[in-house]
Amino acid sequence: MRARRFRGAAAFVLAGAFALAACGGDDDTAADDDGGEAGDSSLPVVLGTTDTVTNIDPAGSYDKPSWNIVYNTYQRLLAVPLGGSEPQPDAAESCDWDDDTTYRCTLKSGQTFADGSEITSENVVHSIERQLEIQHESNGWQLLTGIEEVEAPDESTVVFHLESPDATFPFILTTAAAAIVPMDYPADELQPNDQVVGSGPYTVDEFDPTQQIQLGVNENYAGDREVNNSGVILQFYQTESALKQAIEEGEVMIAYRSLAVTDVEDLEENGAERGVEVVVGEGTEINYMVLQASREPFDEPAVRQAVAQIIDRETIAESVYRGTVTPLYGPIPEGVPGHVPSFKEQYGEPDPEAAEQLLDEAGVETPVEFDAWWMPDRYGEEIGDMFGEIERQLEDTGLFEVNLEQLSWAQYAETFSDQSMDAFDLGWFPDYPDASNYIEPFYHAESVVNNGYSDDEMDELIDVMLTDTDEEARLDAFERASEIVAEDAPIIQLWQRDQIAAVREGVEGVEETLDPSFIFYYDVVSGVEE
Amino acid sequence: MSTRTAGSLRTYLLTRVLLFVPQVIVILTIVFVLMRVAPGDPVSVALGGQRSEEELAELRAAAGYDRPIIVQYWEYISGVLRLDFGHTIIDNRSVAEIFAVNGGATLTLTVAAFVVALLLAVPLGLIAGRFRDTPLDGSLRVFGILTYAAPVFFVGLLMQLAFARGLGWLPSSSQASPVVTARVPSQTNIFLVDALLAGDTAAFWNGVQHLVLPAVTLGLLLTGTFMRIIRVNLIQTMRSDYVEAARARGVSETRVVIQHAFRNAMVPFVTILGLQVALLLGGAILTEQTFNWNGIGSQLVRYLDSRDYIAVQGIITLFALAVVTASLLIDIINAIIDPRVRY
Repeated sequence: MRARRFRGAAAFVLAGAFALAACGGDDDTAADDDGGEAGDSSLPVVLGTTDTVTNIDPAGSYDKPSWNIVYNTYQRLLAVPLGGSEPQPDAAESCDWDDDTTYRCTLKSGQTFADGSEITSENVVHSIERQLEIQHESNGWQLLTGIEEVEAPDESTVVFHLESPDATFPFILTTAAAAIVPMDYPADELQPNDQVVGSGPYTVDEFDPTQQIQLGVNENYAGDREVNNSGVILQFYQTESALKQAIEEGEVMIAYRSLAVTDVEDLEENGAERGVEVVVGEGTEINYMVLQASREPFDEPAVRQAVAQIIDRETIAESVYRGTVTPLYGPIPEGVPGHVPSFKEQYGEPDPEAAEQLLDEAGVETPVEFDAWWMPDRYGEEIGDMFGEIERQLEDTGLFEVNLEQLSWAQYAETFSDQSMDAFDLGWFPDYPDASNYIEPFYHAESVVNNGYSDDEMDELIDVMLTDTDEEARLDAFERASEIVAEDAPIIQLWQRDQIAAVREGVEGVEETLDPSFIFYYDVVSGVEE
Repeated sequence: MSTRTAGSLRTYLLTRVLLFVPQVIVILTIVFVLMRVAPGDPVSVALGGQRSEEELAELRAAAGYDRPIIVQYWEYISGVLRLDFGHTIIDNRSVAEIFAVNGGATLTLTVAAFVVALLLAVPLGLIAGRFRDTPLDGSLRVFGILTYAAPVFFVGLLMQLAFARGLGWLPSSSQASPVVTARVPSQTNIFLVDALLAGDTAAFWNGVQHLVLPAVTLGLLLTGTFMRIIRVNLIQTMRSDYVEAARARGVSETRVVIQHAFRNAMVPFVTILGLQVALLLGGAILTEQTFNWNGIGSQLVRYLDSRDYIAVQGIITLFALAVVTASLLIDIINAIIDPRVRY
């Protein structure tokens, strides 16, 4: 009897296994087996990513993944429209300068948050004031420190009084730091992530940053953006390879940030037969090497210049990144008004003999030894290969001896600004598409990289960039600043990267949103319905 | 059962339960010491560079890291006794919440892997024992060694390449397709159960398909160990007098194995199950990473990456308690079913 039961159970298991294989054996992707709803017109956009979302209260984050959700769920007074480079009204009807330090905005009427409450100028005041009150450690609030006072003289008018003239202020109002929140958001602490309410095109329906964030369409949205889908699911993956598998299997419709270079290359070559297309948009992410100008060996300008003279960016772009990045020869990336290839103009082609001459003239003893630091878990898996290539290029000249060192980002982030590293890698995503955002944070006397570099002329130029509203004067300032940074070489820009996404066949709109603003507007994505 | 035997069983069970206490204390102490020998305090390590010294000092005081080590130790032990395993530093989640939210995925994976291991190991172990020293036995023994020795992530990658990428039969990551995950309301945090509660059989089937590859990968890790033990025990049992008696009565060899030897051969097998819980949980961490499975293992890796030692300490503590508790339960079951296990 027991033997019969055992045989019965075994037969059941075998039958189950065969049934499983048979059901999985057709040509459909796994996603199509999810209950036969592949053609359901209510399917939301599924976007896979390896990014990490922290806080989606605008006062609680200063990172691209979190800000991207803020951009899709909240309105700001101004926004940079798709493909544009200048701020345009979003929740505001209009904004303009009263004088050099007074900026006035008038809100559109009839706008509400997703919970139905009306948007008034008090909301804008509350949003700014709580940012400055909370002062979250992510430091996004620092974008707003130029505001001396913000007031709401009536329900639809907001007036900003600035501490000093700031030509970039309209851009700052386009950032997530200036997103408008309801009055019931606490003034001195963050709103829980699963209780956020905005007035943007989407609402946050479910929030689990370790697995999935679900966005629904905000029925109360009264802005100008047109939503072309029924919602968005952000699916998180732990590794780049898992993300690639997910797009190939049809589990996600879009894979965005980040696919490994080799995976991109594979999808470009073979993606079509798997129903996947690689979409490339203009990118303004940059990567650079900071040289510690505060002490030896890089306190000697000739040593920094020699490094700049030797590094071969073309080889890095081709051999390490397989052409997925563009060599960057100046502090401001191509595509952003103000770009000047100043390193190219200053140093020309990589030239070890010229580098040797620079060191000889300065009386520097060679080989110059230094530690170069990089992190494996922040800007892609290829950074290590890139530093291997930089080490090779420098050591092949016999002028340098490079010791490569690495740290995980958690340790790196707390170390790079304490001046303990001779040279170190960092990357930058712009807060807003203005050239000043590539100069001021790095070359001001109080720069974020804290490498001891300062220059009086540079500080004056930065003042012009930030305060002068004359576009010609600003462009002149960018050009001169680019010349100075190439000459002094406290930071050596290495590459800029396009934005890359992989999309399933039939998905549209992704190319449109991959613009220099670096904001992924989910509303433009369509084609997921049949 | 005689009075003497029953008394002996009671003594064994009482002793075993009493031993559980020092066992737990030793494990908790080891976890505490290991987490404290790392340089720097947990708050500085996780948040240093992101907050001012004053804020870090406040956080250290709030978490009790400015107190003497013995006080911290007592607070840790008393916290565990109150089932308070602390709050993570980077995202302020309670460790208990992590277990509640992510534990379902790990439980699903480990139970399924255990079932896979049993389904493979029992018949294969019996076959190997039955056909001892034949080429078939030799092949199965090699298979057992390979499954035990092969790294989980390597087996996982092979599975993904073969059944997801190559044949396209099964999905390679996550507990379910994203769209399916989104439509099933989370009630128990165990996806398959939630799908059934929602009456969504398509979602349930989707979950089963996603479970196959990780469960087989982790199950294979146990299969080798199980198989070898079942084989050895079967061989020993087959030499017993009562088996010889069965053969003498003309019972067929297959029937001897299944009806007479199998049950007794399984008794020692139960003993080693407790030890395998640790192997299973360790393997689950790697399996979850390989298959993007959102369980406790992947959370442990995430917090390790962020150097959130409070979270790591809490998760390891709970893992350790789970292993010790499982070991206790297995010992109790073993004592009940095997009269030889007595003091």
